[in-house]
Amino acid sequence: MKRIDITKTFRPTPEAREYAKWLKDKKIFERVIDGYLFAAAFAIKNNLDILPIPSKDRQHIVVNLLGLIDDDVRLSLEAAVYAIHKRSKKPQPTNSDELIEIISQYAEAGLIHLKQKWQGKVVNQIQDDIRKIVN
Amino acid sequence: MQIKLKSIHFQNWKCFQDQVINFNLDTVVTKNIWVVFGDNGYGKTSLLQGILWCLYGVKAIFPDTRQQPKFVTFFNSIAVKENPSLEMSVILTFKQGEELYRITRVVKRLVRGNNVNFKQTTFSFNKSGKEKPDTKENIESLLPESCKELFFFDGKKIEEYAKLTHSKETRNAIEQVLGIPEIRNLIDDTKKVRKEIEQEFDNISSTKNELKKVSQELNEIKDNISIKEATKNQTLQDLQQERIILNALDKEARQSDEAQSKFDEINKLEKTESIVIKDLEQISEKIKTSFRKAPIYLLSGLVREIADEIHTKTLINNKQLADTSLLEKLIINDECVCGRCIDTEVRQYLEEQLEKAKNSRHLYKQAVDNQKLHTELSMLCRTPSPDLELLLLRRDRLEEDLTETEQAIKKLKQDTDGFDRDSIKKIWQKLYQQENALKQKQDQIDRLERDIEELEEEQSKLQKQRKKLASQNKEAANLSRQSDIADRLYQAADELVRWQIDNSREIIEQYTSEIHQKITNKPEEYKGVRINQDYTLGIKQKSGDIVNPEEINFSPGEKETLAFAFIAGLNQASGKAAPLVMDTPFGHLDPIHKKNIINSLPELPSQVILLATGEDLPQNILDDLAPYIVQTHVISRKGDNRFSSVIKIE
Repeated sequence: MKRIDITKTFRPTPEAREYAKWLKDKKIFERVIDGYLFAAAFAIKNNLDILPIPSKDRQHIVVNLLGLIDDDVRLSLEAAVYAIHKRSKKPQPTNSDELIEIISQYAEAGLIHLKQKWQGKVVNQIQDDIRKIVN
Repeated sequence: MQIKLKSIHFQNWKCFQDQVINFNLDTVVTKNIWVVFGDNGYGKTSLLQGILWCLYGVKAIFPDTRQQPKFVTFFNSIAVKENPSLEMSVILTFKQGEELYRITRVVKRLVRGNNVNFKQTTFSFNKSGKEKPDTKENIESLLPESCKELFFFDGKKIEEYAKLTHSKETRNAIEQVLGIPEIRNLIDDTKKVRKEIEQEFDNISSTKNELKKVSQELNEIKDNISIKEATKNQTLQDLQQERIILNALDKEARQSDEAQSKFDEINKLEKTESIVIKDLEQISEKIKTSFRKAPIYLLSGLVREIADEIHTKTLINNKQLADTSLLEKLIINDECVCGRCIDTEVRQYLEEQLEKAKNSRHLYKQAVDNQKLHTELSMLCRTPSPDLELLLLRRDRLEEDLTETEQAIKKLKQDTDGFDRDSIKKIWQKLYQQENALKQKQDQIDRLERDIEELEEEQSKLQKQRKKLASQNKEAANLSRQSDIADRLYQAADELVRWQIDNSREIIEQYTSEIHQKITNKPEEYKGVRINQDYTLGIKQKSGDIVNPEEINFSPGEKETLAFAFIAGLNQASGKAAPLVMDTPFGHLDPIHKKNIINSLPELPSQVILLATGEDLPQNILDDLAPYIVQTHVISRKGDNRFSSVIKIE
C-alpha cells in the first residue's frame, strides 16, 4: 500500500477548486481541502468513474500537505485507494505522485457529482445531506 | 338666547360688488345649518373677512399694523375703475329673540396723486330701528371681540388650537368665556374704592391722633396683607409650574424605572446570549471536525478490508519468524523435531536456512511495518462515527435560541432608547430635587397663609378699634362702615374669581367632552376632556387616567377634532349661542373625523354657517346633513372676472 508524501501538492481543476471554495465560503466545510477530500472519499465509496485530469490550468490547492491533512484521513484515503484498486484488479499506484493523482481524479469526479446533487439546495440542506452520506 | 345672522350686505367689498345674502330664519327649530358653496377663489374667505371687518375693523384681518395699508386692495377692482373714490361697506343684521341688530361699517377710498388710502366714514350700531351711541361697546356686549375666533373661524384657526398651546389672544378669549375679566375689574374697582375710603379716613383722622395711629396701622396691615396675598398668588402659580415639572419628571422617572428593569433584563439576556454563543461555537467546531473527518467514516468499510488483509500478512510474517526460531533451537539441541539426532548433512542444510532467514532483515522490517499499519487501520475502523443528526439539530436549536435572544435584546434596547444608566440616575436626582422644591414652595405658601391669617386677625382687631374711635365722629363712622363693606366686597370678589374659574371650567369641560365624545373616532377609549389650569387640554381615558394628547401620540386629525370640540364647547359655554361661521374648516381632515364632526353640527345649539367647497362636503355627507340644512347658497362668477362673484340661493 502506497503512502502519500506530505510534502507534495494537490492540483485541482479550476472548476473543482471553485466549487470546493464555494463549499468553504458557505461554511459547509472549514477549508477548501476538506471539501475536496470529502468529494474524493464520496467518489471512492460510490466507485464513481474517474478520468485522467487534463494538466492545463490545474491549480495548486495547497503548496504543502504537511499538517493540513489529518493523518487518519490520509490513511483512510490511502487504504481506500488500495482496496478499490485491488477489488477492480487495477495496478496499484507505484509512488506518492500516482496515488495523489488517483485521489485527485476521484475528488474531481466526486465534486462534479455533488455539485449536481446539491444544485439549488441551501446550506442546511447540504449539511443534512452530508449527514445522510456519512451515516 | 341664540344670536343669529340674518343678512349680510356687501358693497364693493372684494369680489362682491353689490351682494345681499339673506339667511332665512323663519324655519323649524330642528334645522340649524346654512351652507354656502363656492370653489376656491370664489369668495368664501372674503365673506368671512367681511363679517370680521364689519364687527372688529381692519385689525381683525391684519393684526399686524404694518400690514394694514394692504386693506386698500379690498375695494372691488371693477368698481374702482369706474369710481376711484368710491365707498366700500358691509352691513350685518343679527337677530336675537325679537330684537334686530344692524351693524354698518363704511370706508371711503381716498386718492391723492399716486397715494391711495382709506378713511372710515360710518360705523354704527342700530338696535331694532334705534341708533345706539357707542357702537364698539354694543358690539362687544353682543359678540365680544376676544371671542371672535370661537364664532368665526377657519381651518387655520383649528390648526392653531390643535397645537394645544395657546397664544395670549386665545387665553384672553377663554378667560372672556369664563367671565374672568369682569370679576377682575370688580376686584380692581373695589381696591380703588378701599384706597379712596382710607385716604378720606386719613384726612378726617389727621386731627385725632389716636384714630390716625390706628388708621395708619390698619393701612400698613392691609398693605402687608396685599403684598403677602400677591406673593402667595405668585407662589401658587410657581407651585403650579413646579407641579407640572414634577409630573413630567415623575412620568420620566416611571419610564426610567421601566427602562431600568429592561436594562436588567438585557443583562440577563446578554449572559444567556454569551452562553448560547459559546455552546454554538463548540457544536460548530464538532460539526467542522466531523465534516473534516468524514472520509474516515465514509471509507471505513474499505479500510476494514485492508486491515484484515494486513492482518493476514502479519500472521504469515510471524509464522516465518517462528520458523527461524525453531531452526535455531534444532541446531543448538542437535536434535530433530522427531527426537532423533541430526546428521551433518541435515545440520548443514539447517544452518544454511537459518543463515538465509537471519540475513533477511526485510522480513523483520515488514513484520514490524505490517503490525504498525494493522494497528493504525484497526484503530481507524474502530473510530466511532459522530451523531451528526444530533449535532446539526442542536446547532439549529442554538441558532434559533440565539436569534430569539438577539431580537429580544434589540427590542429591549429600542424600548430603552434615550436612556442610559447615568441618565436614569440623573432623572431620579432631578425628581428628588423637584420634590424638595415643591415642598419648599408649599411650606412658603403655608407660612404666608399663617401670616395672612395673623394679619387678618390683627386687622379685624384694629378695625373694631377704629370703629369704636370713629363712632365718636359721624363722618368717620360712616367711612368706617363703607370701608367694612369694601373689604367684604373685595374678599367676596376674590372668592368669586376662584369659584367662577372652577365652575366655568367644569361647564366648558362638560360641553367639550360631550362634543368630543361624538366626534372622536375612539369613543370607547376616551371618557372626556379636562381643561388644565393653563387652559391646555387633557384627555380623560376610560381607565380614569388623564393624559396629555401628545403623550398618547394623538394624530393631527385627532388633535384638530379635539380643538374643534374645544372651540365649539367654548362657544356654547360663552352663553352667547353666537353663530358659528366656519370657512372650509375640515378640508384636510381624514374622512372619519370629517364625517364625525359634520354629523355633530346639527346638535349644536347655534346657527351654523358652513362655507365649503364641493370637496369639503361630498354628496354622502351632504345627504346626511340634508334634514338639517335650511338653505344652500352658491357663489358663482359673472364671466371669468375674479372680482365679480355673486351668491344665489340654490
